[in-house]
Amino acid sequence: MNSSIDLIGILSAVAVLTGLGIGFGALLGVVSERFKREDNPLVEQIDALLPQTQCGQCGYPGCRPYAEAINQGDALNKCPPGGEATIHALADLLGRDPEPLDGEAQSEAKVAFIREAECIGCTKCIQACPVDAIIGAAKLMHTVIEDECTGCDLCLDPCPVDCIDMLPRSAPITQWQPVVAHSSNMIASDRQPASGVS
Amino acid sequence: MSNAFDFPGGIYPPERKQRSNQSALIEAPLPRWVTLPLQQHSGQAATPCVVVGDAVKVGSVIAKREGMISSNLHASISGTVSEVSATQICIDGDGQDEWLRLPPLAWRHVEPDALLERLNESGIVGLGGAGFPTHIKARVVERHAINTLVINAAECEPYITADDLTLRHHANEVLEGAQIIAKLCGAQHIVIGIEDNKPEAIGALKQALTNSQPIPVALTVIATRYPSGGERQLIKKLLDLNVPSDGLPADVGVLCHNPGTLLAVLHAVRNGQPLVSRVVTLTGEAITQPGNRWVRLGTSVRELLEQAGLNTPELHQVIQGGPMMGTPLLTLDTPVTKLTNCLIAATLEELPPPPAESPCIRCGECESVCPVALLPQQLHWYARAQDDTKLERYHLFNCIECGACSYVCPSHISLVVDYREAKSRIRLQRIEAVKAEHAKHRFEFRQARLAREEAEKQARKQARQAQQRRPTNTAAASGEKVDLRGLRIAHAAAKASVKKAEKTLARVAQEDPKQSLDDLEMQLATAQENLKAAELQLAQAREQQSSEESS
Amino acid sequence: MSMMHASGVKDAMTATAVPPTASLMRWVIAATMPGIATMSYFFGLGVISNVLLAAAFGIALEAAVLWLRKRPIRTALNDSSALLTGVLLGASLPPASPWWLIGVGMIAAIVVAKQLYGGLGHNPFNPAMVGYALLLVSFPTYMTLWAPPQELLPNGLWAQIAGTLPTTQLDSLSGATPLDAFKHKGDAVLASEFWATSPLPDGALTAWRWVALAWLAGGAVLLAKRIISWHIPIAMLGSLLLLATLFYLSDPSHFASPLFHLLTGATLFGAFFIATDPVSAATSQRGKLIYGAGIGALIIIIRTFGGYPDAVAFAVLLMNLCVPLLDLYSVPRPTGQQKALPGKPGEQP
Repeated sequence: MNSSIDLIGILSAVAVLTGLGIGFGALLGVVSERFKREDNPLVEQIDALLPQTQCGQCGYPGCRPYAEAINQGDALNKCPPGGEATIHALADLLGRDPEPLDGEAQSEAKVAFIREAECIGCTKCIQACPVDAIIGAAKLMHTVIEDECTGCDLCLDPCPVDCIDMLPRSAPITQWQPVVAHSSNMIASDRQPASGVS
Repeated sequence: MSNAFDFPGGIYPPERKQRSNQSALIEAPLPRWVTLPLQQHSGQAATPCVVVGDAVKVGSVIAKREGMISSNLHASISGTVSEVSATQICIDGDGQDEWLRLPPLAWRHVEPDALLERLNESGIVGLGGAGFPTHIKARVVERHAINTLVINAAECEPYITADDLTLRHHANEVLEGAQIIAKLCGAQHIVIGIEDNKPEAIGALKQALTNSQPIPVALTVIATRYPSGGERQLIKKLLDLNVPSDGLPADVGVLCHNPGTLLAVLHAVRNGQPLVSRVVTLTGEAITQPGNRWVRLGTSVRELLEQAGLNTPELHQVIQGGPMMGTPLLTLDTPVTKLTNCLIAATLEELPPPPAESPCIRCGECESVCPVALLPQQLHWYARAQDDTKLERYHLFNCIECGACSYVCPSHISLVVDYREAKSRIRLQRIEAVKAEHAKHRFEFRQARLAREEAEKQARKQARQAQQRRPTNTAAASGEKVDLRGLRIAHAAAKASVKKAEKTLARVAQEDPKQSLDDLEMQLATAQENLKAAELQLAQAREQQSSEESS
Repeated sequence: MSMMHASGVKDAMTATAVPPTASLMRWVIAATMPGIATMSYFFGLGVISNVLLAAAFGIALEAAVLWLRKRPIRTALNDSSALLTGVLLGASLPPASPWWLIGVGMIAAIVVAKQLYGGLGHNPFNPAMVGYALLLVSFPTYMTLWAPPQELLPNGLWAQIAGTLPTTQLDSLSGATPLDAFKHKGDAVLASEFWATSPLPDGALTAWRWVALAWLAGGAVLLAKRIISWHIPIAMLGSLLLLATLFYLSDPSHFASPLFHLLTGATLFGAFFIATDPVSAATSQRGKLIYGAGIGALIIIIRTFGGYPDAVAFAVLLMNLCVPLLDLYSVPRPTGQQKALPGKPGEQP
């Protein structure tokens, strides 16, 4: 080694860089406070990705409160009606890692159906429905409007005579989806071979 | 790079039309029974109006149109109805071929409304393959001014010669049908576009158009190139007009019709004959008597092909339509419908299955042949990756699914299958998104309604207490200061939202009166509930403040 | 695929229309034969040993990586793309290169530049050129070991390939390529003087010119069979000749003539066989023209002002970097649309 250890040099380099770091950090902090947005467009975008069933399975009273919670840092994987697709979409939007669904995935879309012979007209299910998809009044027949029902299950518990069934939603033939093998999995991995592309 | 009067791209597949255009157009033998699907057109299926056991004649209405975009269905043979199901009606023929015709109309002298009604009754749909009800298409003049009627005689797909033979034999009648449609839609010009590989049809048309009255008919012969028969491509080629991709030819003042459709229009108007038969090209190496036939709708494909000399051991597949855009039939026990323009009974050597798919080598051939100037390669990557944002950005929905790109792909990638799958997935997602949005609005309305009910309850309680002259303890009990200013701001905001919702509703209602406005009405109602709640809260707070001041 | 698949509605005529990808690759290999034959005639059997070794390495390495990736090996090898990469790299290296040099080059080409990116169709860089550039930078002595024509006898060949040749003999064998010699002549020597004294080994210039013409012949075959389109070769040669002419006209005493640039080095080889690799080249026709022109210009610039005598590899790799941008900026406007791509603010292209 032909150069001596320059202690002053090292210390001054460290000091300069630290100073720069503190200075720029402070500047960023001030700017972020000064130009802060009151509304939160990210929450809107998160809400737009959620399925809007308003079922409460995530633990929040509706999809919007969950969207706000996700924005605050809550986990992405609490929405069973959204399923894997929603988790991935949220992960893409927020730049976080997708996690497996915390709960049972829903196999197919369902709608509620009231067996009218057993209905006692108590209005408990009407009060429970988050999208007002059940019509009826006290001591009169209740029935579910199929097109408005999101399949959230919230009407099942309150019904005292347990006369509500969850039936699969009928899909019109115009919405038939072809089954094509190669639509995903372009890249093979250790766990699964690539499909379709030879 | 598109020049004037030309569309970009295009391919030159082998035409293979010699097999079926050498013989004259003849009638197929009368079938002994027919199966008529209720949906042979785009839009909603027709509803049966006969029951099992009814006696019908050729031309009797057996199913009526349902909804705006729909078409009537008529018996194509005389006999007895043997089956009526949710999807089809079957008739057992009595061999008599008795007809039930409507009274003939002298179209030059009747009102357009009578002509429209005749089209409506006759069940005519676009016979080029899409099956759009003709009477609805004729009403386009209610929304757009039509300047030119284009007769699409290009028939660019290999194998198909139905329009070619129709024009050779019935050129005069096709032109007369065009004059009827021109009268209905107010067109000032009629232009026929035909490819140069049909010299006999061109000759027949040249003779016929001199006699065609009153609208002048022009004939334009274009170079053979696939897919020049695509509506937008043909309009660009004939008239140098670009149809906007989110619009229709009517937006540029053009209406486009197939020659077979126009012939059916004439038969319906002049002879009172509804649509019960059509010209079908029978071709392919697996039949010994190829050619074009007048076929009654509902004839079994198996029977039809066997009558044309079907060689079953040699048969590999039967394609309905052309080899580029047609559908391989899963079974031969299926009927000829209004949309069946061609049946290709192919052997294995004739149409071999493509080799296994290799990875895309980014050669760019697909891009050079796309007639809509899209980037099929990029669409392929994004379709496989299910990247819907990019798919829409690269104009996936402009694709006309002509198959030129997959035809030239050296890796034999099934590009059109990718695009169809992506399109159906995106359409479904859009439907789901609309539903979710709607559910969200209903939820918001419910929240607003509950908030208003709560506010009303509070107001009533306060009024009751004020009447009994008891000291109000709500604010004091909660320990909160009454935030009058905050409530006033909330009230003003709620008023503004109501105004905004009203304006949006009015604007959308004016732009498109037929569209469903339920969702917007609900948003307006939500805003009104919020306003009510805000008003009540404000009034309550003012009361409280004044009672505090007075006490 | 079975035609009974309900969703398998696709054009039924494609099998009759175009030769599959494997066939394209094999035609390109066939088109390199004139060039390789001419090179062997002038430079000895070392050329053939290079090509064979590189091809063998290529297939072996590709099979090994495919096995690791759990992909079907035979189907992927069948498309002959690894074979082609081997042939191209083998033809680019100095004759009778040591076996380990070829091995390292092929590892870089097949394993790193191709398979690690996802296999055929997924590599952004030209695999043969990645291998060549790696070797050039890592083993400059071996990469400039161009034996003079007709110098290398068969019994020395094996030793050279095995890498056991003593270094003294190596030095005596090595000679410069014309480009190399021209570059290193020094500024004091005028071009005219250079050509007069011709420090090149006997017949080197002629040899290289015949080789270039052989590459041109192969390229013409590819163009005629429509295996490659004319855009990239014409654009590349055009811009190369244009820039070379401009330099030459400005100062003939210091710059080489355009014909020299055209007929020496890997210019024609690069124009028809390297730059036209579809996977790493631009896609649209407009993009291809710009891509080719960029390569041509870069070749002249690097040859004249850069540190290496031949620049085809680097020029191609540099333009490979630009391909995504070229593709983005040459999106055509679809019929009936107002703009090529919707320009929503904040939306990524």
